Amino acid sequence: MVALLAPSAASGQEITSVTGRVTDAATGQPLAGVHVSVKGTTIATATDGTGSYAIRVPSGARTLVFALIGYGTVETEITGPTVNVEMQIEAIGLEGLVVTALGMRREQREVGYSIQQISAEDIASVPELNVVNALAGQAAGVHVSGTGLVGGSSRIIIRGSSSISGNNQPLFIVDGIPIDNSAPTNDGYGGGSGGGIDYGNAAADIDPADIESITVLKGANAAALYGSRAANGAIVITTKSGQRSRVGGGLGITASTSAMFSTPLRLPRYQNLYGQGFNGEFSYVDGAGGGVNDHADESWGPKFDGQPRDQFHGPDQPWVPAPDNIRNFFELGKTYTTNVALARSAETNHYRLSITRTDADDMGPGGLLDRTSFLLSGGLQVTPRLNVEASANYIRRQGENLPGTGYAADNYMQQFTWFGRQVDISKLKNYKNPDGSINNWNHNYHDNPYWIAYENWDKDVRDRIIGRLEVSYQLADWLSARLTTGRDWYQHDRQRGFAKGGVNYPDGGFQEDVITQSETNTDFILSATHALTPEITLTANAGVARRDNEWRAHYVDIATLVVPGVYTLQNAGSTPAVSDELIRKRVNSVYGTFSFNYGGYFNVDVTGRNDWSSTLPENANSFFYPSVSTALVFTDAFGIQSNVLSSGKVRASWTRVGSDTDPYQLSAVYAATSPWGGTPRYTVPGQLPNADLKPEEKTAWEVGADLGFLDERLGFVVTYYDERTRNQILGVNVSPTSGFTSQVVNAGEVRNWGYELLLRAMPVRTSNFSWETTLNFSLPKNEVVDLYGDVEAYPLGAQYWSLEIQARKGYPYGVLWGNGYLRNAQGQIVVDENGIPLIDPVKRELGNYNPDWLAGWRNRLSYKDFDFSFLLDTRQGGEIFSTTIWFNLYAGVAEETLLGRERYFGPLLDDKGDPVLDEDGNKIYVCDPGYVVPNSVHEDGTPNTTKVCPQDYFHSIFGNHERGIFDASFIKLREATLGWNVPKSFTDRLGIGSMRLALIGRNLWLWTPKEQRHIDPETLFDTGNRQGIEFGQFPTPRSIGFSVSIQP
Amino acid sequence: MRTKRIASGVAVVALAWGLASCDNDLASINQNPNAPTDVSAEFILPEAIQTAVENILGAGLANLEGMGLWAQHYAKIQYPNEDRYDLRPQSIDGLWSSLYAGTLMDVQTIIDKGEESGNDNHVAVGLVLKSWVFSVLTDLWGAVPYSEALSLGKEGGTATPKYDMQADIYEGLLSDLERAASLFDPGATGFGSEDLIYGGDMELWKKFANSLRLRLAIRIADANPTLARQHAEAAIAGGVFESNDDIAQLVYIGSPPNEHPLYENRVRAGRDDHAISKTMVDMLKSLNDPRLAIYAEPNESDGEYVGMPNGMNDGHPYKLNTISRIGKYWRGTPNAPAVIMSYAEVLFLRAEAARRGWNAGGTAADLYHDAIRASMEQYGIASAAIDNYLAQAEVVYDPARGEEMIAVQKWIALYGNGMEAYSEVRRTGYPALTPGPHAENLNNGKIPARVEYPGTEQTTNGAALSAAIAAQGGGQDYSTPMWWMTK
Repeated sequence: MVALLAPSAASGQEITSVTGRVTDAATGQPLAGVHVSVKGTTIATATDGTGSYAIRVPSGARTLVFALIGYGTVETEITGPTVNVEMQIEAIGLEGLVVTALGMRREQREVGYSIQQISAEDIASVPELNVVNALAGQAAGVHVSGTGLVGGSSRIIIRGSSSISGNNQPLFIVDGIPIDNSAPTNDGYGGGSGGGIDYGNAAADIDPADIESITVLKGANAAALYGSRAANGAIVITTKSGQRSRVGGGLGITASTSAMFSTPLRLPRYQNLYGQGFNGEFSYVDGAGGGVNDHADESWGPKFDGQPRDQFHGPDQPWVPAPDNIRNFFELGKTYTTNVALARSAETNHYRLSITRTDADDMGPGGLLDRTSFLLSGGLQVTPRLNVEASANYIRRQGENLPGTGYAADNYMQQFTWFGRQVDISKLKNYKNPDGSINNWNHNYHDNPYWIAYENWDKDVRDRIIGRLEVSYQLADWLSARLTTGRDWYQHDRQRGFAKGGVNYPDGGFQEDVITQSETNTDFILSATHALTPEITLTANAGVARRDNEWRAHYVDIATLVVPGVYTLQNAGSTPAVSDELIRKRVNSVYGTFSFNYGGYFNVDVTGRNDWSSTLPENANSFFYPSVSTALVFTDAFGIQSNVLSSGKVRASWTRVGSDTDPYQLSAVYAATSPWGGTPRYTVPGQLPNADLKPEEKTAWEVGADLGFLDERLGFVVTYYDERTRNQILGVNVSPTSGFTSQVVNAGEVRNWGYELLLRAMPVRTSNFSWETTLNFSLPKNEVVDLYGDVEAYPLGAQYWSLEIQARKGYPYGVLWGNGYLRNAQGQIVVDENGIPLIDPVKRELGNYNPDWLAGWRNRLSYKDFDFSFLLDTRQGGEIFSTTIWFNLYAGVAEETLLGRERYFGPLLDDKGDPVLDEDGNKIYVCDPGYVVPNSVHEDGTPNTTKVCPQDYFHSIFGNHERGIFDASFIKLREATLGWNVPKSFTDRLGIGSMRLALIGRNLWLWTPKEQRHIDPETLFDTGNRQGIEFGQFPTPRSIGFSVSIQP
Repeated sequence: MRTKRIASGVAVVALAWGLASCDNDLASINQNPNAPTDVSAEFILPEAIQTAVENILGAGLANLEGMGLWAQHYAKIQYPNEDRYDLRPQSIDGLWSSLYAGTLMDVQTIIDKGEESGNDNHVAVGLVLKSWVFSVLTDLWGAVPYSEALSLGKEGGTATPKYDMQADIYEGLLSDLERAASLFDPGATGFGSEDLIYGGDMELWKKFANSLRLRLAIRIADANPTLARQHAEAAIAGGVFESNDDIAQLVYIGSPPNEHPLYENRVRAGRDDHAISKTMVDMLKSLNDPRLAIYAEPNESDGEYVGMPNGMNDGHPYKLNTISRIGKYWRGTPNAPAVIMSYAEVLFLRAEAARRGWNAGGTAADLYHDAIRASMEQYGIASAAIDNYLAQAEVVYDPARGEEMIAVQKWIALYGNGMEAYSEVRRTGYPALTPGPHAENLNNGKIPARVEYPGTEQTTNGAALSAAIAAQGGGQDYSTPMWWMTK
């Protein structure tokens, strides 16, 4: 522990208040926002913009405590009415404040569970639209995955999935207020609650530029005080307050602007030897079968020879490949972000107004997303006892023409799988011919992709307000009270229009959804602290809370339009499908914490919380969950003074958390079916709910150590955890003869265990040059220990092309269960009489979507005014079913499909070049050199030597999931920045505090195993439990740009 | 002052603690506002009727894609697996699940609500529908869950109901129909326009109950003659259908999604996988039957009526434009009727009863001729043509071949109700149907005697299923005969 003091007053007086200034020990600059408290009491204040503070001191008080995030905490004796303090930066180690549950700031040395704090710099140095993406690779035990879509959903899982049917993502808290992070569901076929458009996860509304720090509370242990939603951990976000404003008082202005430009990081690898068609034959007449295989949407056609051939863009066109046709479809993506923040901090008040505008033009034609965020926050010390803090954040998100996802016609990538390798995308740009007909390469299955982009449309607007009010009152020196209330409200209006006249929606269509969501949380907490002896401090908190959630939705779907181009309900050509939904939930809680601290180095926390949830049965809606944690800084306890081991803490904790369920699960409701004319119809539902439903229960324990070496130049944090989640809420199949097809039970157990490691080092630290490196590593393990009765597997969602993602007894959560090659006992592939592999009708385990291990490595180097930083992120192990690759192989567009036709594929020709005919007068199709499936046998066991041609061989893929399942490992260079801090001489002339210019980049480089070089395996349809499947992913953008920022 | 502050702070917290623990609003917040937790039987009846008819008389396994093929009313021209007695496991699972957890659960709910509120008419309508659906289930699968079925979620209910033997099921169905007939009261509240069959006419429902009772009684005429005769005579005396106006049928509205399933299959789904069976066409031609022009469409190639042989495989040599499709009366008419039970069938049943010497209110010959007339009138055939038809030697009732003649003419009249035709063919052996050349799953060279049990039952109700198979001496096959099959 570091302690510096500078007394400057005579002793022996009764001191009733103390003032002073706090400065940075290295630079001498004043430190604003430092938390100053009287030890042994709840009296606290903060330093203002000049670093000054004033605090009331009761008689008998002896010590003041100064704490600031990122700095070592200082405890100093009150020697006079003025106490000035210098604080040192603590990059590594135990010192300093962390934000924990309930917005409490605690000394890191006291915390008995695993938490990791991420600084504003790590989050926002490269602008990222979605704050969840900014967490990728930054914290051990945290697995972030997302998509390349602008504004698309990202999923965050801490320590693996523990609930089979429920939510596995952590709770998001902003300044103590839980906020909504829901995201649309997506079935991968263009359906789901977003209709196939990914509107993103709602927490992405939080602007990274407003974030001061993020604390990741990893286990259930850490989150036993936030309630059951934090059973999967919590992401606690603290926004910038006005308390760190311009030195010297007055208005501090911060501004930054950045521009980033994006191109696709990775696209599938296509073959460019053969074009559209079947059997090596193709000639265009009408694109609908009127020519030779011109209806085909595959590339098994003739070899490119440059010779004239009738094509869609004209007769007798040279038959050549268009190797970059798909890359050329994508346009340069542009994202411009600008933030301006004004802040002021005085002795009794502070405020901050921050405005951010982001305009993103995605790589798809016409796709736009913009976001405007206003955040006004402030605080007022009304009386010495009464303090008020408040903030309001208004965010507006607007999207236009965002691409569709999944296996659906409005996903451009679907068509690019079923494509002709000769189609020149530039010749599709004019999708309407002068006579009004559609210009396209295919009139059988697909619409012109530019027609999809410009004639079909979608638009969404989300208005959101997050408001918070916090009133704290000092009841006594040792007792304070705080009332907090917060409300997160948004309304999301989404519309989509399908133009009349396309192949896929010939009658047109229109959909509109309006969703209104709100959550209100109110907490009232009493906090007390008492120094029993000089060594022993006791702290206690008691609180009550109420949470109300409400969700309303209106849906309209019109399947035909009367007048083309008019997208209103009045223009419906058939009865619109309409529906309404209202979902409400309330949870009341009481909770308490008790802490025992000895000597500042031994701490024990005990917590308990009881929730009453509206979603559980009325006579059993209460559940209690406790936790215990302890931390021992053994270097202090045993007085170890060493340069090698400069600090060491060991910690352990145990907790039990209950999770309630979704609303309305307890009683069955009748379902309306389509009316018989004017007669309504209702039916008994197929699932029998459970009127005695119990909460899911997670019991977890963890142990860990935080060690500092070499005078805090090297830090090492390790944790081992073991969690078991029981009483899973499952809908299990029953015999329909019972009257129902499934019933809801509490059963099953999932176990998550593993290691987390964080290594921080500052190998070099001189006055000119420093190098800081951080490595975080996770080894998560998982097992579905038990399900229900004899049930072997439980689906985690609907099947995808018959592949099932399951929670299977005895296996890790997330098994890919499907059909593979039929093999004999020796493991050889069995082929039919034509040499084509057979498919085993019995499904089996083909992979698992969870990684074996994850790691993130950040390096920060600075030399004088320059700094360079990069973040590498890797996930190793786990598999993904890529339907893109599967169908790219089927359709003959993938580079692997040249197998067997490297030299020739088409009709057998005689010496004159005429086709040879068989006895029925039909052509004979051949390929050169052909392909024999290696190590394969016929059904009778004889070794297989039959050559196959790629069209048949790759067509036999359908139904064989094994041929579409690949290793999902990757390494990504997630971000890199090269910055230059403009010299003081220049900034002083401009009248600003500091200015930084930087070159920035995101997703710059991707490595995947050589068997899979087509897609970015970090991909998802939605944030639910069904993962490990992919189709038609929008390419991940590789973004490069620059930023300019100024600080006051 | 300070103590007062502390005290008030603690008091607020204590109060809030108290409020939090006894918030009475929690339960009302969890009332689902989006859908009703209870609806009255009026809203469930149309659903029950529509799903029953769709499952049993529609384009699925019980008719177009199954039993209608096995009875050789229809034949498949493409994807002929079902015609070769090779049924898809999903189809078997699907029909079982739809009938039990869908239709029967709704029907049982109507009955339960009726018992609770003392509405006899509701109970009676429910019992008729329940008996009809269960008769189909047992006629397909033999022993099926009956007495313990549909009880999950109720006091003493089970998720694994035992299977009852077919003899016991028939006894139960007959007594339920007897009870239903006694409960109908045209003077009391019943149903209104939500009754898609009879529009709330309890008199007609009573006749339907007795007519159905007669059908089931004749079905067990050889297996349990005493019980059969008792119920048949009582049903006839109690009052069965008296004219074509009494037919139990569902007439479709004719606009999506309420269109006749055979129309939907042909026009909405665009499927052209079925034709009229050669067996039926040849039979109609041999009798110069004017119903041929309604049952079938002339073929495309030369305007002739040519039936498709049953049980072909994918590479069959028949050119599709030479084959007659199923008649536009169903295939081209969105508001066609689906006939649950016709007046003609009732007359045939009475003729059979008379043939056995039971009291059927007429002679076998008269009833037989009336039945044929009723069937033709149902299709609007002119009475002169009917007279000519009935005068033919092939058609005139011959007591020496009475059983065969009644059975064959009934089989013709039952066109459109493949399920019932299939059951009667199995019971009587008439007409003699020859399985197609590529047939599988045969019953000693004859058409299958049953459908195998659904695969889902093995995983969800395996013990009860095994017990049933043991008690029946079989069942996980296509050959173990029905209890009522004596031939």
